[in-house]
Amino acid sequence: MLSTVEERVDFLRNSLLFPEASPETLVEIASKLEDVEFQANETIFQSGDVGDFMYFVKKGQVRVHDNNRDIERLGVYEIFGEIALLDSGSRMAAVTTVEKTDLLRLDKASFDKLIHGRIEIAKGITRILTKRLRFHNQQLEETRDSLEKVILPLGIALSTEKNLDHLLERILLEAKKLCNADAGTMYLCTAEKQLKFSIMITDSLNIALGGTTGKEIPFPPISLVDKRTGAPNYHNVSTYVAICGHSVNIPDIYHAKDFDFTGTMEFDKRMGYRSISNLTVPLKNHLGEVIGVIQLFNAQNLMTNQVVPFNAYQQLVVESLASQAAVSLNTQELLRRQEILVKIEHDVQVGRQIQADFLPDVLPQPEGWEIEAFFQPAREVAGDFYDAFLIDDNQVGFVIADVCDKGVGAALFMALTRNLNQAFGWINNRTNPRSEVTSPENQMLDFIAMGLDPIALTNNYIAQIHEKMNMFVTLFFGMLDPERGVLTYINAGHNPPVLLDSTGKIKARLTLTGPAVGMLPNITYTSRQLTIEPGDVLFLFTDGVPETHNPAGKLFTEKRMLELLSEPTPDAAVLIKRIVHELKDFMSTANPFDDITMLALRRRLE
Amino acid sequence: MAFSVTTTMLKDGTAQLTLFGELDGSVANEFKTAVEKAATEKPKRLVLIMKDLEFMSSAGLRVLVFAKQKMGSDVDIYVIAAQEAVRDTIEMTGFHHSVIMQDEYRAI
Repeated sequence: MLSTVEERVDFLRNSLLFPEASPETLVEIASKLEDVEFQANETIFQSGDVGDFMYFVKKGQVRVHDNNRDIERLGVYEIFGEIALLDSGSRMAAVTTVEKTDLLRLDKASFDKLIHGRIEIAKGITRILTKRLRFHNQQLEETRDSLEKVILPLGIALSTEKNLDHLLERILLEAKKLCNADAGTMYLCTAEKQLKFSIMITDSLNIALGGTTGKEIPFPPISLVDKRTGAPNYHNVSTYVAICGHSVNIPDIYHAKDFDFTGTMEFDKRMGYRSISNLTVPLKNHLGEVIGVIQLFNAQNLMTNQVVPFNAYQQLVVESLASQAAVSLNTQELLRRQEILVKIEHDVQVGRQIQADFLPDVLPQPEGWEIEAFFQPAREVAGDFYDAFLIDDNQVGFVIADVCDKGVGAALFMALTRNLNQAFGWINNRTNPRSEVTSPENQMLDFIAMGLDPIALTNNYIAQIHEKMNMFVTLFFGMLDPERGVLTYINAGHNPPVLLDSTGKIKARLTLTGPAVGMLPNITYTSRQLTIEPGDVLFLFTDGVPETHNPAGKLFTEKRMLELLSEPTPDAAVLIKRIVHELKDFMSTANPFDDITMLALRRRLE
Repeated sequence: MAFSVTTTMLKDGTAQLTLFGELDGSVANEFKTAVEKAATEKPKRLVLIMKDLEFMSSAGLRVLVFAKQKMGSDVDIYVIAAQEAVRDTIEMTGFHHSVIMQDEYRAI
């Protein structure tokens, strides 16, 4: 509503700026003023805007703020916006109306003229500036005081607190104390995208739940996602703060339009309580991710215990505390993870030992034969496996296998494959008494005919039960009659072993007789047979040999491996050592890329 | 050479993935993600162009096994123009019985 000059003069007389101005001066100023009206929550100017007017609050209330933090609130007779007019700079803060507000404004040209012409106006301005300076000084003092006496000591205390429950409780209690708030709740974010109640305290109702009290909080977690729409849940102030990561300060929740406080209001009704002012602050980790939320209710005047809104200063202090707390929480989390890692490391070592026990201590050395092996895992536990064992006086069994992965998963799979193979093999022995066995080949053929081939059974088990893992195992299984040199084998998708004569010439590659184990269900594996002559070497390997990388990322290649094999060898051990030496030279400083396993069987020259 | 994979959905319901570079354990997940994404389109067949794929380790083969299981038995997988080393890896493990290996793509 437009005001008359008389009304304006009356108003100006009461303002801090013009107590000494003469009636003529006041009339002159009044004639230069302009009425402006704003609705609630309307921005008058933003930080950084050009300063072209100063304002007098005639009716209503405005808040001066910066980055969502209230600096101060101004009511009737107070003025704002004068600094940008004095130094011709841009606005240092933003001003927004709290309620419907009527203002009078004075443009820069008129302001300049007034200042230059009249000493009493300049005095008034100085008075205003001094008041502002004192206010900010006082705020600075309080902040420094809190920093020295509360925040820093608390930060040190928090950093030494090892118990997570104690730490969370301490953070909440200190925040509550700083604001003289009656109630406080600590929420923690869960992996299921929920806010879980961790601690709940309301002094005046003698309520203390969760945390070190050990008493359960009877409220379910609040979802951060709207279950119907899948959109972020902005309904609750706590979830809003958790999602957006900035604080919300509400003077009276019963007048808050942006958030749903039904739950709080129901609590009030049931308990005969009245929740009024609310401050909700996020707890973030070092990556800026929200890990929890602190919510305080009903800040109270220290003298009167009247409930008052949380002021800008309190908000600042709780935010500082939250960031201190977050650092400590983060350290806790890192420590916890480190402990888990140490445990895993220990488990891996146990796994490594168990796996080492799977491998044969001593390889059988049947008369007239040399059997040598080399094994080097790429990680702590391996996906490669080999074994050689006496079946009876006439038979030596051996196996080399590779799971299509490395690390713990592959090792578990390797153990599973090995055990299944052994278990099914044991069943076979029970159903096929050894006395009936005429030769290794017949035994294997009998198994297959009966549908009891251990490899086929293992294959079906893995392909069907562990389908989701998409794991498969390449496996070569041989049964050797050392006396006759007859080898019966199944190659389930494994790198074809190489049969060399005494001059190093390749006599045969033992190619596959069926796909890798676990790749496809319902496979029948066939066996093949050949004779190893005196002087011949059977060399078995996993793909870690040809696929060894050098530091430049180049592959060792099967070609290079075959070249090394083509040199005549005095015995199996020399052959393996030669390849190991070349591989180490080639790999140099590169990290092992895959498990490396080799097995060599040499029939001595008679 | 770095690995990359590009996906084209053809009008006849074919998902065509073209693979470049070296496919080993460190990049197998990129290939797996591309297969998973293609599977959501419910293609009639999956065609893998391997002309420019220079190397494939067992980790890459594992993704092929995954693709076969993910797409289901009704969806044929074509492996087109695989270089010798890659073809050897597939054939050595016996997986060539589960896919259609061709020099040039022609739908069966």
